[in-house]
Amino acid sequence: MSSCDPIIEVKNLYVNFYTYAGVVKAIDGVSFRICRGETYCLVGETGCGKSVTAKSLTRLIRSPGRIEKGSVIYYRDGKPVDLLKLGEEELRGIRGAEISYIFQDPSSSLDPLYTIGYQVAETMKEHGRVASIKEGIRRAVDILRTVLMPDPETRVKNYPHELSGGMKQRGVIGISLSNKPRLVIADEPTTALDATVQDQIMDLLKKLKAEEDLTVLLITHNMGLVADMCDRVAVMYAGRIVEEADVFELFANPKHPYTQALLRAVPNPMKRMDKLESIPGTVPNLIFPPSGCRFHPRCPFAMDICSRERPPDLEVAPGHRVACWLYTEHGGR
Amino acid sequence: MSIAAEELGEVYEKKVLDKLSDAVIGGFVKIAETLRPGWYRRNKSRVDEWRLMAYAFNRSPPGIIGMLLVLGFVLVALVGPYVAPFRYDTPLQFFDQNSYLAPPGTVISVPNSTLAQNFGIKPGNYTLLLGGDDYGRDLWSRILYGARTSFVVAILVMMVGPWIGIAIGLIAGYYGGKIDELLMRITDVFLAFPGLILAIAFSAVLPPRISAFLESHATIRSLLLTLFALEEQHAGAMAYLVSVVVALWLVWWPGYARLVRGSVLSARENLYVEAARALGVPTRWIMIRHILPNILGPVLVYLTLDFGGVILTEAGLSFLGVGAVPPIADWGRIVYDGANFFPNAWWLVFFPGLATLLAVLGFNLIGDTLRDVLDPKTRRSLEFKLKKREEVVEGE
Amino acid sequence: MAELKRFLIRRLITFIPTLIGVTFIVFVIAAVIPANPAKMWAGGEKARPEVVERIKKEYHLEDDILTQYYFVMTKLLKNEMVSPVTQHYIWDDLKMYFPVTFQLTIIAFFFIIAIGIPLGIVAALYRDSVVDTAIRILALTGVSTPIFWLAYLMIFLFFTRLHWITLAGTPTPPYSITGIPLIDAILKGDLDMLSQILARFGLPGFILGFAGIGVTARIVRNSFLDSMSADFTEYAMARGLTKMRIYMHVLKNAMVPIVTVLGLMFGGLLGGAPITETVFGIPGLGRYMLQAIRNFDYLALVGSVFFVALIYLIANLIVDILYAFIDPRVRY
Ligand SMILES: Nc1ncnc2c1ncn2[C@@H]1O[C@H](COP(=O)(O)OP(=O)(O)OP(=O)(O)O)[C@@H](O)[C@H]1O
Ligand SMILES: [Mg+2]
Repeated sequence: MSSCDPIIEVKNLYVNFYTYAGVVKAIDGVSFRICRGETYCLVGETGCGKSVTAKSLTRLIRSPGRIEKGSVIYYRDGKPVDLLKLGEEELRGIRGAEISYIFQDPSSSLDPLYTIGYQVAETMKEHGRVASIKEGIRRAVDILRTVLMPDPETRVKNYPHELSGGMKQRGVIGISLSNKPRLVIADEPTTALDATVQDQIMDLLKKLKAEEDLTVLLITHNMGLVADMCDRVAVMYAGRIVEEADVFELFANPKHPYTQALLRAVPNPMKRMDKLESIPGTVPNLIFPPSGCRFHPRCPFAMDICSRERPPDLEVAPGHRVACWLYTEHGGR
Repeated sequence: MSIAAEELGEVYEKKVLDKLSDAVIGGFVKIAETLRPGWYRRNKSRVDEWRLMAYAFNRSPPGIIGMLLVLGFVLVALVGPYVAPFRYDTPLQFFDQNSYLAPPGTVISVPNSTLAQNFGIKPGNYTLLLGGDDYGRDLWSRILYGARTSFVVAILVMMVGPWIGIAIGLIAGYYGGKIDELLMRITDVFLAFPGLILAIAFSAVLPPRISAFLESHATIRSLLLTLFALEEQHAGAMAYLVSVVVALWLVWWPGYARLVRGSVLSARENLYVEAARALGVPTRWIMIRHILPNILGPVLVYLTLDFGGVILTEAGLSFLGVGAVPPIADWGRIVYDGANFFPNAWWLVFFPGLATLLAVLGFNLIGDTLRDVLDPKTRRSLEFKLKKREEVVEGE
Repeated sequence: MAELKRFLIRRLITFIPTLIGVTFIVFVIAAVIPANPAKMWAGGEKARPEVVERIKKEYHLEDDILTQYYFVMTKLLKNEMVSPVTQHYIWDDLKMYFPVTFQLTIIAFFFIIAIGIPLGIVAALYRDSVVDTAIRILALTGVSTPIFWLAYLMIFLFFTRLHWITLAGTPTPPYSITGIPLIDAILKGDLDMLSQILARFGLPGFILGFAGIGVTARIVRNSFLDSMSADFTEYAMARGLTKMRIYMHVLKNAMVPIVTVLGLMFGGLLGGAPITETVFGIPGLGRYMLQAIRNFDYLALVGSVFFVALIYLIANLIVDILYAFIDPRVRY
C-alpha cells in the first residue's frame, strides 16, 4: 500500500429517496478513494446502499432519488473534475466510455427489442468510436470474442432472449468494455447467474482486467469473491462505510463489530471456522435510521455514546479506517 | 360495539368526509356483527383496509366530484318524478300554443279545464325552465323523469348482465379443461364484433315477445311501471325499454367472463385455495368464499365504470330509435326527436345530452379513482399524502 | 417469409369458426325471435297470402334452422342473395356501403393516433402534474360523452356557424384503385378530392374517434412510464446514450402494449359507426345495418355482421403481425 494514484475520489456523499412512505436516507456521508489499477470492493448486506453509491458516481440516480451533497472527483488524465457538477452532455461522454457499468441482472439490462450486436454498436457509436451502426456491429464481433462469447459471428445477430444468462452477461461486459473504459463498475455481476457460470464470468473479469489495464469497482456480498478479486475492501452498513482496509488486513484483523459479525456469518476464505453465526437483529429502516452509530441496536459492544453521536473515522493502521467508538478513548481498546 | 377507528386516527389527519365514511363502514360492521357475532374480530384487518381506502378516496378531488355527480343523479332519479312540475307526457301545447318548441324560460299559462285536471295541473302561469318540445312538453320535467329511466335501466342491466359473465368466468377458470375451452370460445365469438350492433339487433327484435310477456304477467308489469315511473297506459311503450334491458343483459357479459376467468386462474394457484381443496371443502363454497372476494376489487371497478357505460349505451340505442319510444322520457330519445328541430330548438339536444354526460362522467370518475385506490402501487402514493404533516417533515 | 405465410394461413383458418359463430348468433337473433318475417317482407298485415307463401318457399323459411343458415350463407357469399326488402343483391350493397364506413374508421383512427399518442407521451413526461391531470380528465370525459350529442354541438359550430364543413354527398373520385376514395385520393395525390373528402368526413371521423383519443392517451402514458422506469432504460443511461436514443428505446418498448389496444380499438370503432353515420347522414355500413334491422331484413344484417366481424379479425391479425415485427420474442 505504498503510493496511490487515485482515479476517483468520493467525498461526503449523501443520497436521499423521497418515497411515499417517507424520506429514505440511503447514503449518509460516504467517502472513499479508488486507486488506478486496483480492484476496490464494496461489501455489505442487502439494502445497505452499495448500488446507490455506485450509481451516484455518474449521477445515475433517478427520481425519487436525489444526490443531496458531496463530490465525486474523477481524475481525468490527472486533471480532477467533479462529476456531480459536470454538465449533462460532458457527463454523458464519460458514462459508458471512461466509466462503464455492469449491472446485476443482464436479462433486464439489455433492451429485449434489439440484438446484442446492435446494443454494443450503438454504445460505441454514441461515443464516436465508430462512424455507423454497421461498422459497430462488425467491431462488436471482435468484442464479443474477447469476452469469450461462443460463436460471436452468429451471436452478434441474436436478441437477448435467444442468449443464455451467462452469454447475456458476457454481452453486457462486452458493452461495458467496448469503449476501452478506465474504470469499470461491476455491481454484483454474477448474482443472477448459476454457480458454474459465476466462476467463468469472474475469471473473465480477472483476465480482462489484466489485459485491458482496468480499474474495477466490484460490488458483492460474496466474501469468497472479495478474497479472490479485491485489493482493498470497504464494508458498508446502512448507508455508511464502517470499515475500509487492505483485503488481507480486513480478513485477518477486522475491527468494526459489524465486519466481525459479517465475517462470522459467511465462510471465511482465510480461516477455518467451526460454525457460522448469523448477525442478530435486522437491517434498519433507512427512513428512521438509528441515531448515532447506525449499527448500535445490533452491536454487542454498544456503549452510551454509540446511540448519541456518529463515530469518527479512525485510522487504526496504515490504510485501515474504521468508524467505531470502541477505538477512541470512549472504548479504551 | 365500538370500532377502533381511533388507532387509525392517530396517524391520519381526518376530514369531515373521513368521519362520514367511518360512520358508513361502522354501520356496515354493526349490521354484520348483529347478523354474525364475532364478524368484526375475524375481519378487522379487512375493515381497516376499507377504511384506509375510503380515506384515500376522500382525498382524490376527481373521486369526490364523481361521487357528487352520482349522488345527484341518483337523487334526481329517485325523487325526480315527484318533484317534476309536469308529468312526462303532458302536452302543454293543448293549453298554450306558446309551449310548442318554447325556448328555455318561456312563460305559459294553463287555463282551467278537465284536460288539465286529468294531467294533474293546477291552472296558472308556469315557466318552462329548459323550454318545451314539439308537443309542448316541459323539457325540465322530462329530463327529471329521464334520470329515472336511465337509472332503472342501468340498475336492471347491472343486476344481471355482469353476473352472467362472472358466473361463466368462475366456472371456466375453476374447472378449466374442455369446459373452459368451450366457454371461452363462445366468449371470443361475442367479443369479435361490437356489442352495440348486437344490442341494436336484440332491441329491435325483442319488443313483440317482451310485450306479450308483460301482458301475461301483471305483477311484473305493474312493478316495472312503478320502477320506471310510467303511467298504466304506457305499458306497451315500456316493452321497448325492457327489451333494451334484456338486450344489454345478453351483450354485457363477455368482458366480465374474460376478466374473472383470468383472476380465477391466478387465484387458483394460491395456497389457501389449494388448502381448502385439500381439506375437501365443496367447490361451490371455495368459489364463493375464497375466490370471489379476491377478484371483487377489479370487478367493482368495472361495475362502476360500466354503470356509466350502460347509461351511455342505452342513450345511444334510444338515439338510434331502437330503445325507448314516445312518450317515455328518455335522454337519448329526447335528442333523437329533438334533432329534427336542430339547431333552432337547440335545447332539445343540448340539455339531455349534457345530463347524460354528467351522469356518466360521475361513474367514470368514481371508477377511475377506485382503480387508483384499489391498486396497491398508486394507493401508497395516496396514503403518503394522507399521513400527518409532521411525520413527513420530521423525517427530513 | 415462409414462416409468415404459414402463420397467416393458420390464423386465417381460425377465422372460420369465429365468423360462423358470429353470423350464426345474429342469424338466430334476427330470424328466429321475430314472429313472421315473410309476412313483414311481403308488406305487413295487408300482405297477400300467396306472396307470403312464395317468399317462404324462396327463402326456405320453413326449413330447420341449420338448413336455413346454410342456405343464407352460401347464397350470400356467392352473391346470389337478393334482399326481399330492397330487391338488391346484398353483396353488391355491402360492397358499396363498406368503403364509406371503412374510410370513416380510418379517419377516426388517424385522429386517435395523431392526438392520443402525443397526449399520452406528454402526460407521461409531466406525470403527476397539472397537465397529467388535465389529460386524465379529458380521457374520462371522452368516454363519458354521448357521441351523438358531441356531434350536434360540433355541427352547430362548424356547419351552422363557421360553414367549414359539408353535410351532404359522398365525394367519390372518378378513378378507383383500392375502392376506398380517401386512399385512392392520397395515392393519386389528388389534393382537391382529398380536401372534399376531409370536409365531409373529417368531423364525423373525429367524433367517432373522440372516445378513443382519451383511452389511447391513458394507455400510452402508462406503458411509456413503465418502459421509462425499466432497468434497460437505466442501463441505456449508464451506457452514455444520448437522450434521443434513450427515448427511441423507451418508445419502441412502450409500443408493444399500445399496438394491442389500438388494434382492438379499430374493430370497436365500427360499433360506433351507426350513431355517427346517422347524425351526419353518411350512407355507410352502420346505417345500412340499422335500416336492415328496422326492416327485419335479417339477410342484409347477417351479411353486414359478417363484414364487421371480418374487419375486426383482420385488425387483430394485423396487430399480431406488427407485434412480431416490433418484438423479436414473439414468433409467428
Ligand atoms: N428507487 C428507489 N426508491 C426508494 N428507495 C430506494 C430506491 N433505490 C434504492 N432505495 C433504497 O436505498 C437503499 C439502498 O439500496 P441499494 O440498492 O443501494 O442496496 P444494495 O446495497 O445495492 O442492496 P443489494 O445487495 O440488494 O443490491 C435501500 O434501503 C433502498 O430501500
Ligand atoms: Mg444492489
